[in-house]
Amino acid sequence: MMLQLSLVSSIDDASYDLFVSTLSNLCGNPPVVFGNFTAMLKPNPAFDIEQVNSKNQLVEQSRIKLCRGLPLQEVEADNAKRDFRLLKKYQNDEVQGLDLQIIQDMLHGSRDLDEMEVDGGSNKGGSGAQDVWSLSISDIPTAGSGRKVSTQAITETTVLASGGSSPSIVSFLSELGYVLDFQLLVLGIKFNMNNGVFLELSKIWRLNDGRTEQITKGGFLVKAFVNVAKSTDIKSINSGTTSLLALQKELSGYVELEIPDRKSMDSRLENKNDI
Amino acid sequence: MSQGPVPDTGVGVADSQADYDFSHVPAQALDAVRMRLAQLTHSQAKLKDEMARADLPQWHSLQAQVSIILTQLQSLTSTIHHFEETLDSTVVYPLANFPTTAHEGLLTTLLRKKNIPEVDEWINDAKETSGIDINTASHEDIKTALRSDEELTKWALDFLKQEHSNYSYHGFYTARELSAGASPDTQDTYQRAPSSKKPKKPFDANNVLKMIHQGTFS
Amino acid sequence: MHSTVIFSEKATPASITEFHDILSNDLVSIKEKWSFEFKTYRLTVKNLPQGSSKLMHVITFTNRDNQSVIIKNNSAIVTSPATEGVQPSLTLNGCSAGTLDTFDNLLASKLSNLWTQRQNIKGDFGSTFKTTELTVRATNVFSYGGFKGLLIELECEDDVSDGEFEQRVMKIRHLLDDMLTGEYRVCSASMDPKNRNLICDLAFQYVKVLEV
Repeated sequence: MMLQLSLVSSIDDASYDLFVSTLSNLCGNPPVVFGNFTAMLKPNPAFDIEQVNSKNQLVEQSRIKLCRGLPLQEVEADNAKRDFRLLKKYQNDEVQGLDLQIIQDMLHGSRDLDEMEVDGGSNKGGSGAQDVWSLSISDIPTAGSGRKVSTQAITETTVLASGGSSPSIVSFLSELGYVLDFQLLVLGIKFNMNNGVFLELSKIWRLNDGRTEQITKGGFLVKAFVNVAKSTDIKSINSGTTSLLALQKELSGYVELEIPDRKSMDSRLENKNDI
Repeated sequence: MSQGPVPDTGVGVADSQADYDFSHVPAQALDAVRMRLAQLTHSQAKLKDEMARADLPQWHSLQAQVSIILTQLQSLTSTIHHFEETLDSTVVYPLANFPTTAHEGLLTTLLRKKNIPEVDEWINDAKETSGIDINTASHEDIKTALRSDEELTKWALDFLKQEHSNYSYHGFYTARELSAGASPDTQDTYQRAPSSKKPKKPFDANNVLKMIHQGTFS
Repeated sequence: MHSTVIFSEKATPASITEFHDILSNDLVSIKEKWSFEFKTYRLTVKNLPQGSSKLMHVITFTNRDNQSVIIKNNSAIVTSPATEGVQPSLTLNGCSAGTLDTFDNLLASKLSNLWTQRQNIKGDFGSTFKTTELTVRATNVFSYGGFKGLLIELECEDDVSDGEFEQRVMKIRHLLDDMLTGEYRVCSASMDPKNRNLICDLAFQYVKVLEV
């Protein structure tokens, strides 16, 4: 289990260029473009699921997050043009250049990566089809009135492949007891602010019946975060917090980074218990 | 003609001192010159010591000292010039009650006007370096030489001024850019970004976060 | 790539040494030690349809980068807790937070109201032998401290036909027949013969021989 410390904000489309220029100068590097596809799964609603485990401990029903990178070549074939300016084309509901069928293939049948190169990834051929996903469950961020940043625990593993007859990640997860809930597409840029702080600007679409709908219309979601590998590593938590707060201070007066509402970052099911 | 007293040597001449009037002694002039000479010799002695050390001092320290010495020289020459008339017409002579027989050597030393050999050597050196033969050169020649020396200095100053004007010392544009038409900054300093450059919030981040965590789209 | 798993409950803790001796004639080299862990979980959902399988197995191999294979009902995934390797693409694209756990930990910490651990079988410090034909891995198997039997993995990295592999397996089986009086379970099956995946099939074979 690791901890993610974060602060959030938003900026409008018109302020994008200046913001990119400002942050590039602050951290000394241009941003990296990234794209990912997320499928959120929830426990099968047809199941009658216990609220306690075998040791009689209360266990919340969590959503499972499946995430993988988007093949950005599909979106922009020209390597030279794949920089932050790319995002200026995506102000509407459409995600031009992206074949949604590819995404569905990835979910419902393990697609052979030999045909598809995911940005930044390397294809290791060999035994069977590669079906690489990040699988994670996150807790609601910790509470506390004196909080300076949001602290959220994330438990994560990597799925390398799926197997069996007609292998697919979704069919396995349904055996696990999980079904598809909703799907998201993210296109964004990421700045490495140094001392472990990253700042992402993203545009997010929801996938709905084969259509895409942008939920960040008009601008970008801003998220500054630090990942701490061990949740017991107080030293790293403190230094990560300090670094984040330093960034907040540096940007204050221009963009105000704030603590997100912890209830908005709760991916548990239906918030039955308001813990 | 003013009277100049003998510097007080402390030899017992108490009674006769009351007979002499020392009010015409150009004390102010002498004191001014004396003070400036003292400063100058002090600075020069200091510089000489610095140069004699095994580790030469930093160039900027030497430059500062030379600068000070030049200033002091300047100050001395202007003081002398200021009191020129007074000093020119000052004559030093011993009072009648000076014990000439007992201290004859002292008297000749104090009143001596001839340069010590060392000084003569310096003066000759200076004359040699100037390139003019004092003995054969006419008054006109000397004047010409001095004038050309002054002109050299003037030329150097003009050259500096010219070079100085080729560069821009303030603002953010080089002189070349300015002459090419860049508008000179009205101010040298950065100004706070006007508030119209501040980004606006197109949506509530928490709403978006809620959507991506719980799927609650409206 | 072929594999076969053999499990004998009739073996004794000393059988593995005997097996090593028998193999000695064909032994080319001895490789690193290895371990596996075989956990069985049961789905605690109350209203499942009759006859549907409730068991899920998680098999973890230390000698294969600590990868785990999770099998339920002929559907499987392979997971890795290794922070190196595939991670860069996932971290870069904002998918991963960079620190990974095992699937077992995920089940235990977050999904314990759905899945309860029923069984834990382990093989620690098993031996790896290389013969001219096969890679043979053997280990004593324990469950909660008690000795359960001898497990043998046979793997062929060469590109041989099914028939050829079967012959090589038979040779080993003959050796075992002498040793264990023929009482053992063996499985060479693949989860999907059209879609061979070495580690998935291997894990599947483990399930077949270890589950009663």
